[in-house]
Amino acid sequence: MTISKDLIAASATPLVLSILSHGDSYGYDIIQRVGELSDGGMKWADGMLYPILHRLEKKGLVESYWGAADNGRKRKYYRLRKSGLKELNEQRKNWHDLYAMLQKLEGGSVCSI
Amino acid sequence: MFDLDHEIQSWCRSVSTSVWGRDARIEELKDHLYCEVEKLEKSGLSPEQAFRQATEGMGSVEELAAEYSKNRNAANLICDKIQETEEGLEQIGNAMSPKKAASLNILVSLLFAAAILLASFFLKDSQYAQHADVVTFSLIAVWFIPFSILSSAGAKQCKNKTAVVD
Repeated sequence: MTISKDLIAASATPLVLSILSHGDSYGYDIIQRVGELSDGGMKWADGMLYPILHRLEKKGLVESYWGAADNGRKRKYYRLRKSGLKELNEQRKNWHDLYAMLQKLEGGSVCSI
Repeated sequence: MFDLDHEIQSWCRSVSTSVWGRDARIEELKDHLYCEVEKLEKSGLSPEQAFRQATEGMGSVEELAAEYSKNRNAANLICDKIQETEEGLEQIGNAMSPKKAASLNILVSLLFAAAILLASFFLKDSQYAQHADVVTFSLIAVWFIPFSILSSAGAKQCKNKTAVVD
């Protein structure tokens, strides 16, 4: 599975919010989860996730706090806020609607040129 | 000999200077870099190879700067400044004992009081006498900055100590 850059950018917010809806997490873990979910097909440049997380935080969709890793290293965790959950539900609906449209086109009318 | 900690520090410094001009948010990328290096080392790479591969995976400094620059509209810059202040307060709070913060607070307050008295004294009979009130109120307003920082630092340390005792 290879996903275009545009689609990666468009799907970043719902994916991050969705991962955080399962529990608090941190940047590296989020990237690993996305890699696993896409079977390695979705490759984010590692440094790109952080500005996205910061934007989500500034929008009030997530909140962050500093914690410590098992080895004591300082680590920033992110938590989904209520407004983030609301946004996630809206985005999920949009993606479902889009998918339904594509399915209708695939299984329904034939487009002849 | 390859010194991983030194290399990671250098990388973080160069990114931090280019992208933000300060170090506050670099801790997050540093943790990421260590996680990736550890994973690559487990897969059999040497620390140096792991470091090179991990930093390549982060994207170039230019790419990072471009991505972060999307966050920099006026509203976000204000949020950044607030966040910087909060981080600064946290650092001061962590570094200063409540007693020291209180002493410094009293000292700063006395200095401001002296400045207000001196300003009033010298302005009283001068041609700028009508501006004396403005100067006084400005000094009081400025005094609130160190006062609130030091009060917050002292309160934070007290809170931390109470939490430890609890």
